[in-house]
Amino acid sequence: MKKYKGFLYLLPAFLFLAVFLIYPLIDVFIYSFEEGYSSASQSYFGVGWYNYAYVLHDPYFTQALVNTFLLVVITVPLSTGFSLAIAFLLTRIDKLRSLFQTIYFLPYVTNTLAVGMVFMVLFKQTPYSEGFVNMLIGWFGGQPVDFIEGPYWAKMFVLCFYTIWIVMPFKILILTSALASVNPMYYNAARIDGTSSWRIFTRITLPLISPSVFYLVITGFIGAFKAYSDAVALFGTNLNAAGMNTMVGYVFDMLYRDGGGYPSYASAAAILLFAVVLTITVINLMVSKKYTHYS
Amino acid sequence: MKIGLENLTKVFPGKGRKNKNKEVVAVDDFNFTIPDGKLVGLLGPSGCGKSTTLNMISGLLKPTSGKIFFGDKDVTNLPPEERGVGMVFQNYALYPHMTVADNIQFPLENLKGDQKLSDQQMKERVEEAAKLVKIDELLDRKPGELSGGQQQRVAIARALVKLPRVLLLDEPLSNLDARLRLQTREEIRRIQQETGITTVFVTHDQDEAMSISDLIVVMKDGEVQQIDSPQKVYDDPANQFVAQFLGIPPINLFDGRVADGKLWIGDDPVLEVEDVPDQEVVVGVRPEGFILAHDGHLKDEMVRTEVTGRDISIVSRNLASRNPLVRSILSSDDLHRIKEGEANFDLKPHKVFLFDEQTGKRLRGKLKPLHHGHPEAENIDALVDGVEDQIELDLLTQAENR
Repeated sequence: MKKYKGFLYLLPAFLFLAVFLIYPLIDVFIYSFEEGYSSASQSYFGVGWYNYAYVLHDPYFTQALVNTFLLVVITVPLSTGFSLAIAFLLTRIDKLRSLFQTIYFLPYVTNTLAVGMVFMVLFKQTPYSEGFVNMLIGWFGGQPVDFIEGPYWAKMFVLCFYTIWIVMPFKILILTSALASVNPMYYNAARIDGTSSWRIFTRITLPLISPSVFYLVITGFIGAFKAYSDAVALFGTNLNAAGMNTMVGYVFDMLYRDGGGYPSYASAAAILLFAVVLTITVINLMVSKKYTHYS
Repeated sequence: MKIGLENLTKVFPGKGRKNKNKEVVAVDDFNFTIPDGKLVGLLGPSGCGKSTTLNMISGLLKPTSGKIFFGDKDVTNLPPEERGVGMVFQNYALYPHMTVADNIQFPLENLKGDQKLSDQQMKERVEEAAKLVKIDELLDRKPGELSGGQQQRVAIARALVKLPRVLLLDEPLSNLDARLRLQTREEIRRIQQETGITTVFVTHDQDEAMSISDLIVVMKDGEVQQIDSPQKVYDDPANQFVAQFLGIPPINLFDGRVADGKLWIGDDPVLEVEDVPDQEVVVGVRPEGFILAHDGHLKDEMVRTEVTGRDISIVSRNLASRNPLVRSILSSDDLHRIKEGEANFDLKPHKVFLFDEQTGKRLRGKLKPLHHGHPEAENIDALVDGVEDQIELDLLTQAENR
């Protein structure tokens, strides 16, 4: 009996996960192979790779895939880098440090859609105004750009900008505490040894906070792959029309499109997303093993 | 290279809203020239300013006022990276993500201009330093895989690899166990003598300071109390604090007075005194300064005896004593002379120090045994040299046993 006591403690959490996570996951996996599954009639036509073939040939899906990849590749390194710089500078100031920390943390506790409104003010052109950013561009003699309904690169820029801005507070928070946890004696030792500030940062600070940086990169990747609400906040619910759909957005659209929706296609897309995230995370883990130092 | 400290002072501002105006004087007007190639120990209780002094020499702290010279060069305003000092930190501060070899090599990689070394040269220097501290077999390990003593050696190798002009050690032995501490301090002494680098180290452990320093600086509350050779600091303390701080077991203190050319402890005249005016004094008697005698002048009440084999301690009580118990250390030859309930002593004059009751300053006068004292006590002046050697030997063995 003693042997199984430990498992007994795990049971509540496991039951919860099984019902709400593992069962749906298996279910989705099964749906993704069932052609034309209907949740209303609980019926389907046949079993095979048809759903995957359809999704992979759907231009909306490839668009969503490209958008998501761009978002990931651009926002994860930039947001992590900026956060590191800001966190580092925060540890260097004494006065008003808490004030700045609070200011940098504010976006984290602000509602996504509220932030979306602010971005509208910044970027959206209306019959009455060009938007704040266009006003700035105009002052410097540039041509106004329609960031919300204009060219692809402009929309992508706004989406990346928005994503970076919204994920930074959390990263700054984590990195500030990571930097604070580095024992100052290492810096003293390095200074005695005549080390330049840049070398202290790259050779000592960075390796010592590498576990936190790595954590942020992994969660950043996963978070960016799952982006959806940010795009909705900026470009509305019809993302396919705007050409700014993301993979999660595509799954969501498939579930509810045309009234009943297409659960089979949605499932196939979801499984593909799962596979991509899993692959990237495994690669991340393997790469980081070499560069991460755990004390 | 000699290190000159001139009116060195460090004042820390008070912390918090309440203490804004309460400044802390960590080091107060320190004047001293550390001779070239010597090993100097800064000794004192915690909070006495010894680490602050070391950090000012290293450049990590800026003095509030005063100057620091390396040789003839004023380095007061130079940052640590330009002073060319090697430093071993209390917790070693080895970079945990680098191997031992990388740790030792790190200071070399920072060299610029003419001093820049090729990879091969660096490797040779690292190996040389590793050999000096006998860790050449551990170069591929990470600090986390090393024992405390090994880490300590790596830290010393890292401090020495750039051939510093000054080596600074901050409580270098405090993280080692007792056995290793003994070993390592001999090692530090050996390395210092082999390299001839002017070395300053900070410690609160008198054994450590006594055993390896050429000179000891005793500090208290930011002020230098005495600077002398280890034996001199013990045998000839400048004030009551130094006498109390050095010596294990600690010195016995009595309330006494000088009157009629005699030194009195309580109602007992114990020694003859010359050149000290009549006054109340504090009398310090080293534990080894007691001579057991039936008709001894200092009459104590016996509490117990402790036999350790080589020597015996008599723990006794005296009304004039400042501590509840008086501890004397006698040779085990005296064992047969101990009588139940009786603890009468004569005192060896050179083990007795008089201090001003108010200021704690040493009162230097001539102390002599009383005329009708114990014969051994009278001959003691002639025996002084021999006795001192014996005491020194005792101290060393005691230190090693600890």
